[in-house]
Amino acid sequence: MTMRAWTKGQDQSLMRVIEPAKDRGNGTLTDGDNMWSYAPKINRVIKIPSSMMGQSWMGSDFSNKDVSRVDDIVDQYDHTMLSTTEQDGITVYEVEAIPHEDAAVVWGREVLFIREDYVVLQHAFYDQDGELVKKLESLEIGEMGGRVIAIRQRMVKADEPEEWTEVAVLSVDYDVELNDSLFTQSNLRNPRN
Amino acid sequence: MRTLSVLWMLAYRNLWRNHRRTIIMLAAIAIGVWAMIIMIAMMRGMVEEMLRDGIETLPGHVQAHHPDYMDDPSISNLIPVSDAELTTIMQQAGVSVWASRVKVPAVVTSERESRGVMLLGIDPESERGLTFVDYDKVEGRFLDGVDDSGIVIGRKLADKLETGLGKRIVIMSQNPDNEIADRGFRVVGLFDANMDAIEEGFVFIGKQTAQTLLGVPGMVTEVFALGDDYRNVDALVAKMSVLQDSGILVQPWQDVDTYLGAMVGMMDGFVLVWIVVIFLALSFGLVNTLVMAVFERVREIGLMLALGMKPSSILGQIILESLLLLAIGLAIGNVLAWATIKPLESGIDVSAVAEGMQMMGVSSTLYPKLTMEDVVLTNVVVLVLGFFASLSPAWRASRYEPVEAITKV
Amino acid sequence: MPLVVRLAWRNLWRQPRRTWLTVGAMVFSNVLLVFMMSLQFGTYGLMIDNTLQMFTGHLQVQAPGFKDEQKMRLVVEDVVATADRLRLELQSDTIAARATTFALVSSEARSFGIAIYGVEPAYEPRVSNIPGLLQEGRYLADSNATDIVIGETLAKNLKVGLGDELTLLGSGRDGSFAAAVVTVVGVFRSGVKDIDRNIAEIPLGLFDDVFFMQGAGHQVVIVAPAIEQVPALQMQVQALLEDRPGVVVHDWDVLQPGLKQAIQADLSSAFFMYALLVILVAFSVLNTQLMSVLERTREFGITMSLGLKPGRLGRLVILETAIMGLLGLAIGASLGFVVVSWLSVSGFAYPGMDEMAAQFNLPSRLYPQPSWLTSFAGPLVVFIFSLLSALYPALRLHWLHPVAAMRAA
Repeated sequence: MTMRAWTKGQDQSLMRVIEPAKDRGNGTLTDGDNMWSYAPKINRVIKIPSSMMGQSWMGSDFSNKDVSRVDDIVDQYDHTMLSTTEQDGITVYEVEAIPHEDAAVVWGREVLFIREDYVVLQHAFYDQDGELVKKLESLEIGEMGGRVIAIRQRMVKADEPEEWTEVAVLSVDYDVELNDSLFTQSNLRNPRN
Repeated sequence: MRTLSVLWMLAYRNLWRNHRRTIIMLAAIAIGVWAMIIMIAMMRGMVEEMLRDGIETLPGHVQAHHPDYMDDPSISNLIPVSDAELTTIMQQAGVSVWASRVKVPAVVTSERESRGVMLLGIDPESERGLTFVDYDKVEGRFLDGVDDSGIVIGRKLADKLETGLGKRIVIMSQNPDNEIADRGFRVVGLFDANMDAIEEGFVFIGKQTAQTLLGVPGMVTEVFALGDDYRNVDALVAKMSVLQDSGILVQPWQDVDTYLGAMVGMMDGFVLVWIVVIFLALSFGLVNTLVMAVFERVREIGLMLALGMKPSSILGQIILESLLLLAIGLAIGNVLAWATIKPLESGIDVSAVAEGMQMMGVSSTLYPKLTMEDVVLTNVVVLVLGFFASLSPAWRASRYEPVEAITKV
Repeated sequence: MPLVVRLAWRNLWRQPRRTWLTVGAMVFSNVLLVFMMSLQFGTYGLMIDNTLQMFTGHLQVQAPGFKDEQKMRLVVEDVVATADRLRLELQSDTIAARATTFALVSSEARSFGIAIYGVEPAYEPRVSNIPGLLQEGRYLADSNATDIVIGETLAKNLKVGLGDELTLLGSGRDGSFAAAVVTVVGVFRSGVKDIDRNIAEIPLGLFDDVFFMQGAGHQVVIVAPAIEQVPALQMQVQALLEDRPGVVVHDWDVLQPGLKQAIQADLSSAFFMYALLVILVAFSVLNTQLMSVLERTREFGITMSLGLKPGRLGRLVILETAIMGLLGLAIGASLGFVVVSWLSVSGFAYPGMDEMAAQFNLPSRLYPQPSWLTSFAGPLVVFIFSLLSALYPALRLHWLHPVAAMRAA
């Protein structure tokens, strides 16, 4: 699946499917915790109720909630620096994130390997018995749109190593002026681009 | 009158003259009465059990909700008045056994699984003993207050979620603005329930915790109350009808669970059929016994007639004998029944029998329930039945030809 | 025929009244027992059928693991072809294919997550009651039409009626985005809130298209002509599908585990009741026997003084009882069989059944089936008891003094 996405700040994002043809034009709009879906086939905008937020997004290993909520990792956890290493001349920090007692997080703990230039090398999710459940790995890192980013990332479930979801950035522009009107339901329905 | 007292004496002495025959007849009557009383008590007990389970699950004899809640049990259909106001109203209405809860659908997630459940925000103290959860049998502990930060789930749910005591699970629901309301909870207790659907479908948190999570401070979605007798809830409904002034729908349990309500009617019919069958079985045995008794005494009766006793006196005497027998038999039967039921009131475990017949799994306990009406009914029926049963043979006996009768072999 | 038997037979008919009274008691009781047991099993049959015929069916062909987790990808490939084949091989049209998923249904006003079933419009009415419970509109007809049938409560919650459009949103078999717009053509009321609120049906052809099933489904539902035939049918289906490793055949007990549990619990309680009934019945027979034998003390005294040894006399008594018992058994079981056969045609209704029936679209009469088990189980026990009852008097003969006996009154 190939998509085009616009994001503004931490809360707003719009995503539109380009390929495959049968899904072209399908879109998802998120604004904070809210998510709306649109498909040209049915020509309707549907708000995804919170009960469906746990369902998989587009059939992938990501859930709807995964896609909409990105910054919880900062607010809802306590962080510990586990180690500092160097890789190709760049400092890599190993950070352990343990969710707060009441956090709406099922994981026992998460371990991230982050480079000093904020590129995430690896994000591992462990259950409350310490067993690895799934891992997000950056397979390819490079420069794009003026920044060094993880170009290709793969999410694998520990007990199903033959299946994975891979996200690859084909092209990206940062610090673009985006109108708020881009992130509305009417725009979701009637794309101008 | 003198004749009557003579007849009584004769009747009484006759009974004890042939004590073997008398004892057998007494035994027949007593056992018949005993069996009948016990069976009726058992049947009533069975019906009670079944309904009690159903009512504990609902829970309550009477429930109250927002009018749209029954169709759409979501957070948008809160009870229009606050919990505090409810307490005042219920108190003024004189309802003493009741509780209010926040009950909405939610999704519970663990590291690997997620499930749709009903989230119950309760006040554990006011609900103690009123619902299907036996606080003492919960593994771990039950909630200790309305602001407990833990969650209690069913054992089967824990298995399905691959989680357990002491672990965190996430509850996700929505607030009245349709926004996500979610939070992590530590599993502090695991409960067992009779039905899998219940063990997998309900989770308990503190009422205040729920209200905070869902953004509805001081509000609830459901009220339930219990009266004295599940069969007669009109009084309770009447007391609670004052809630209707605040736009709240009050319903007796038969309307909340229409299936269960209809079942009661059917179960009563079922019990009725059984009672009729039992009476028939008993009555036949009774008639049989009394008729036999008279037949076997043909010679004896012939002798009495030959010695000058009037046929009408024979009639009277035999009837009196029967009545006496019945009375004594009834007395013994009643006492036996009472003596059998009393110690078994805490339940008869029939699982041993069930397993013997290769029916595994469910251990069922029978709780007999004895009511005054059933006992009186039984006694009256046996007496009346016995009286009429003895009429025919007594009549025939009084018509014997003395000579024929004496020489009968 | 041995002398003893001829003597026994003649003895019985020397006193026809006594004999008939005893046999009559046995026959009567046996008929009662046969009646009750058939009714009991008939009721279970009814309960099971009612529950299963709503939606589940007696058997289902599924992918392994589907019954625990209804995952979209656990499919039965070529589900319609499979159903066709089974219909052909089993010569039955009470077989239907289905596909199902959990998806979002939205109206202008609201959205709900529900279970959507793709069904075969021609066959679904044969395996489920739901098509017959339409309150408004019509059922599905064309397998590719964009029609949907929903429950009354769902219609109310979505605020839609006949002719309104609904949007379906979910994930296809390959995980991709699945969406469709459908029109409400029918609204049903099952009486079960959960069904009326959470289930919608669309044609299987449409489901296949929208959710990219590529001919696969999730269930083939099979309804057997009678519940007793289910085990045999299951084996047949399993044999037919042996060449398809990816499917399993589940029976209703596996699909609805609570149902059998409930019945077993009831059955083991009922067993207790029957035990009591049999005791009551057997006791009255025993009592009659006992009394009649004891009353023949004089007769026995004469017989013994004429030279018949106590042992042989004892055997005679037991034989008499055995013959009567057999008569009672044969006549009782046959009459019982006849009564039940009549009921199996004309039906039997417990008082209170019609209310249940009206509300939940259940049959209002019960049709118990005569069977070997119900016809003979009870009567056999009564027969054994009556044989036992002859033991005491037979033994007693051993210390009977002929002269004293002859003088008995």
